[in-house]
Amino acid sequence: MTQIPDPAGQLRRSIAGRLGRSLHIRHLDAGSCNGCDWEIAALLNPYYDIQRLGIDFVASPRHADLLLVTGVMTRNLQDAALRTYEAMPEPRLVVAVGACAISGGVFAGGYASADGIGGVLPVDVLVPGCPPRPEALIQGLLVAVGRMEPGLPAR
Amino acid sequence: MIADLVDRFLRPLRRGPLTRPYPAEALDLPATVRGLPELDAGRCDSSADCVRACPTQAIAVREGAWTLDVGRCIFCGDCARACPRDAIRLGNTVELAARNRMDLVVVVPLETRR
Repeated sequence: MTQIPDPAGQLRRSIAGRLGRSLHIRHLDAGSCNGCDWEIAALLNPYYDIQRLGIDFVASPRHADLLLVTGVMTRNLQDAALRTYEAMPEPRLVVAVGACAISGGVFAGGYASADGIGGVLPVDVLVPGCPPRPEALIQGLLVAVGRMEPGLPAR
Repeated sequence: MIADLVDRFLRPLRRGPLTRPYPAEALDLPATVRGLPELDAGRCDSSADCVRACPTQAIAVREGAWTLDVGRCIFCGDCARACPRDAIRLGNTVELAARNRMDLVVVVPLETRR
């Protein structure tokens, strides 16, 4: 796993260079158990303080660059999720958070589950975990903006 | 007593920022963190107890390889507990983001013996 040895300021400039502004995230709960959502909420606390990296959360997909999706994508939410995605201005990114959003996780095969968001939205980055730690979420977001290298550790 | 109160007041000031330096500095997570399950291929006897123990069918043993789908894994550790030869342990690797679904599948070749 590549570690970036640069201070947060450089990272902030890198995000600004790619997007022309800071990275704004819309969090979408597509039938999650709330575990992932709590880890996402933790990103904003003083311990992880994601705003130091030039990343922030917004209340509308129309203001967002990145859609952070948690949950199995329940059938009831497919339309809403697609409309949320379509409301976003381009360029837009989609990050799937947690085992559920990637594969359905423990709910895979259920009658009300689409087994992950991949069948509904074009996923750019997958962040595994149940739930992923806030550090894993930060890494996923940085992979999404092309700053960090993705992938499993070399064995 | 007064000194104690003053000390309590000054402690947060001496401590410095609470914010973790990640990603500027490498992660230093405690060993108790349940991260990526790692297989010691030398100890594995292909008994597939981990496959049966996995609640999300993330593990498979076939064609001389142990495969783990990290996109299905819920990092519960049941595989490690089920293994009669202690071949699996949950490391503390949590930086697992990937751009492609298939990048999340770990394949560990197993040597066939007997």
